[in-house]
Amino acid sequence: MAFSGLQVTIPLGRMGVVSDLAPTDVPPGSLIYANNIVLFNGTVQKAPGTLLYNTIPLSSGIVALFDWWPDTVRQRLIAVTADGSVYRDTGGRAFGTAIKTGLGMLTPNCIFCSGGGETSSRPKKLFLFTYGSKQVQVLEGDGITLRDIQQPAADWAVGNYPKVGIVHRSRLWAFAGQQSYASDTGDHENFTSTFLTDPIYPGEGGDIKGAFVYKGRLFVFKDEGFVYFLDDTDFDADNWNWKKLASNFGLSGSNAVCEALNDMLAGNTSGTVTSYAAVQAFGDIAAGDIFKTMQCESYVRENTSRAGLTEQHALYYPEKKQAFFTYRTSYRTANDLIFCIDYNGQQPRLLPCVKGSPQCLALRKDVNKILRPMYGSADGFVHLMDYEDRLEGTVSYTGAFQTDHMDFRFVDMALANKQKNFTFLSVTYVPESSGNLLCDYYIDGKYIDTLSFPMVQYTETELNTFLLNTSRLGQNAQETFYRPLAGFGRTLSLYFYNAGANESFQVASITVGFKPAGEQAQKNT
Amino acid sequence: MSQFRTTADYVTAVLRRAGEPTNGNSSFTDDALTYLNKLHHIVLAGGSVFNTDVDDTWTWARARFPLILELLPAVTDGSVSLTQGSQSGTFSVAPTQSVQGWHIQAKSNPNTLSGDREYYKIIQHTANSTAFQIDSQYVGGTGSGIIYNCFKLDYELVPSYLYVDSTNDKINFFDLAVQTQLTATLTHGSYTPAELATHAAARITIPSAATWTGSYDDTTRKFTLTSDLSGGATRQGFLGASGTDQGRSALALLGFDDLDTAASNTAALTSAYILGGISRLIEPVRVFRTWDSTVDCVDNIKMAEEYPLTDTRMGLPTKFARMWEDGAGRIVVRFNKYPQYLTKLEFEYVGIPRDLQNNAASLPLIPRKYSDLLEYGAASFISMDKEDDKAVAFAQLAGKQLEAMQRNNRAELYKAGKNFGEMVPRLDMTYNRRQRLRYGYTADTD
Repeated sequence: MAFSGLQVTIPLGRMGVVSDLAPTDVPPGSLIYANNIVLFNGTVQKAPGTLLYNTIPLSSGIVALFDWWPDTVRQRLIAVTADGSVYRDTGGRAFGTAIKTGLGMLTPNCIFCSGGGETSSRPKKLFLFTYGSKQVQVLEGDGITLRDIQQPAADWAVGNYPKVGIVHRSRLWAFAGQQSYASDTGDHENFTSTFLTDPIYPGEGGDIKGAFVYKGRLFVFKDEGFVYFLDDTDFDADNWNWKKLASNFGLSGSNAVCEALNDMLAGNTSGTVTSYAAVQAFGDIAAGDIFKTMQCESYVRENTSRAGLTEQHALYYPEKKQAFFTYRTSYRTANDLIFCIDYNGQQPRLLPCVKGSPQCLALRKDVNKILRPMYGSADGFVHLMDYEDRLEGTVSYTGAFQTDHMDFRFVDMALANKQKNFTFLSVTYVPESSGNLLCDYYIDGKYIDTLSFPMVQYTETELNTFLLNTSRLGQNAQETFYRPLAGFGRTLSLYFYNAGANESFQVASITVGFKPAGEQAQKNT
Repeated sequence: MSQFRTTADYVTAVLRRAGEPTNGNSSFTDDALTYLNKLHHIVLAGGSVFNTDVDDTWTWARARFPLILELLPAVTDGSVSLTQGSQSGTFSVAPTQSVQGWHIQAKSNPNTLSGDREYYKIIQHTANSTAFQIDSQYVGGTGSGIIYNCFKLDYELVPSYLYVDSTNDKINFFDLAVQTQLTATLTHGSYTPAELATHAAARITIPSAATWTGSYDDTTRKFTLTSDLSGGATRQGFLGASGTDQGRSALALLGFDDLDTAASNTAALTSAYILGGISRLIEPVRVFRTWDSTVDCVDNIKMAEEYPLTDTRMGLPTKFARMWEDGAGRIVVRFNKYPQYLTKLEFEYVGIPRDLQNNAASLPLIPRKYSDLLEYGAASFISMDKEDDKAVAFAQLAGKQLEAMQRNNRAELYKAGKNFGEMVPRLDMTYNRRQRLRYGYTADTD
């Protein structure tokens, strides 16, 4: 006997978290909760895990990482820890003894800057800015020692060491207090002769806390929300000068800025992310708030702590077209959340990931020279991100997402107020895991029951399939699994999750079967 | 989980049929229990919306023991004094039992020309008292030394005796806040309700730290058991749901639910149900004082026409009529005669079932083989509430199950009996009990 009710298929994998709309306006397929998922190939998938780079933790939490290539052949991984030590790995995934200690208590606001190589005979150099804790540190070529910069500016002393730095127009730019310094073009360590120095709107705002080059233009960010850019259009560097861009929003942390596609994204002090392309195009700050554009601002505010903003990191992962921003959930002392802004759809989508404790983000070339993300954790491990296992290092994690409380008005407006006899729920998935996908379902906001959907492929013999013992070879075809759905009410919300080691899911769509009833009054629940 | 054995099983099955979650989160869980109870009552009492043609008396629904009623002979000792226009009268010899509710007829009033066939009902009288009141003013002539006849025709059907055996001799209870189970064991035997209350309290007192007292109220027909909360006892309550002696609990006999009562430190524990509530009478009443005698039920009009009170006679009753009935199962019947001697009658009946409870201790009376009736019937009610088109199919299935039950019931009677449901053309082919030779009539027979 065929099912006589309504069957409503809801495509997933198209919309991320949407929290800023009225419940009646939320489009089908959008999520009101998500954790550790990605939207890829039109499916909702459990976010990839990480691979531990080092098996022995470093002496303290990692606050800065850099994939250092002293030349085109040799790859080194440089890590800075919160206790003021710097480690260097040559590929053996064992950092060994620190190449530098005594840099004081450091925060994730430390910045690496690759410079040097001013002429073909000069080596590349890696500069480390400790956010003013110590003098600028230099790693020369494939050296194994870190030393102070050789010719610092005269006023770089205790209390006034440069906080941040960046290479622009063949100069190493350093920023201490409200002053900008640009090295000699022939020597990035030379801040004593033929160098530039210029105050940036002295007296306005706080210290300079960040610098970023976007579309060939150098932006600097001050405390208290001031943003400036360097007008370096003149051929003569003596005529270069700073201009103010904005005074009411600023950078949250020195590493909270990245370039994504045709945009510069910056974590701001109000806890959201500012799109500078939008700001420049429209001249409107509000229009540049990307979380507001994605209609998930309230979700971010409700699920993060402002305490972690000053140590925020941002990173763009070009391979997957995703931008990462670290955040901190409530009651934590270190950042433990990454908001992934996914650019694979027509509109960017927000996907939260709460796993591990990412303190700093960086890119690292894999064996194929593809830049892959990695993070340094608070427990001294380097995690290589986007790893195929569904383990965060060695720890399993939960992947979860929840649909809106759907009253199915998107099918027929008359259904909104009707009670519904829910009959079945089917999940269309791509089998790739041995575990189950669990589904807590809520009717009229009340938890009803938990369903279980296998994420394995069918094990029955089928025509032209190749069976080894009981498992077939892997397939990329979708399968659909039905479960009875029991309950009666107006709205339905589905919370999918699994949490076992290496358990994953790839869900393309769900179908809800129900029979509409009348407009009865709500029963007490 | 067992299958269609306990009420909890049925609740689960009903919810599943009705498309509801079975983990307690359905908003229809309470409704499922309510509908199961409704069906349970309906099937036992006879008459069901699922099939109005099915009204059999199910063997499994009968009370385990018949209700024993003892008919009392008339009181005629001495005489009475009555005053015209007054409701009060006086016995010359005080009856030793209360005759409240009895009828009285002045048989030889010298002040009434034509004798006095008027009858009155005694509204108030106390045992061993000479004073009484009748239901209206006395319309005969005032006089004393009036020969009278005081007889009882109206009886409330309530068990005179309760029986304790191995099926109902345990009481699981607690007397501390932590509800640690204690168990009392009743002595097997036959008890009047008052005796049972006293005995149960005495037996509960043995394992309890406290002293318990028990009573039975003839008016409410309920038992009350009370702890004095002495000796370190702080709470009182019964473990009708979680007690370990399910299947031989006396709580049903005492009228308590299959529930763990809330721990109380003040209230007495009073039964939830009246003693011996009757859902339906199912057979003519049996009388054993004479050979092969039954008392048949007639309606009130026939009773009044054929056996007018003014002409009530002594003898073994042959008819009775249901005079009054309430929702709890109280039934008052009137017999057409009063006996010369104390006479025992047996009523076969279907009792009013206690409420089913959503737990494993509560067992429906309906046999498991007919579980579909409860399951589909209750599911149809819920489906109707949900405006689910499955309601019709469920109702049809429940109706069919009723029919099947009827056929099964009759088939068993047919197979186990000799002539059940058959037209027998010759009387010699039917069973005839050998009749003893009886000559003439006795005072107890017509």
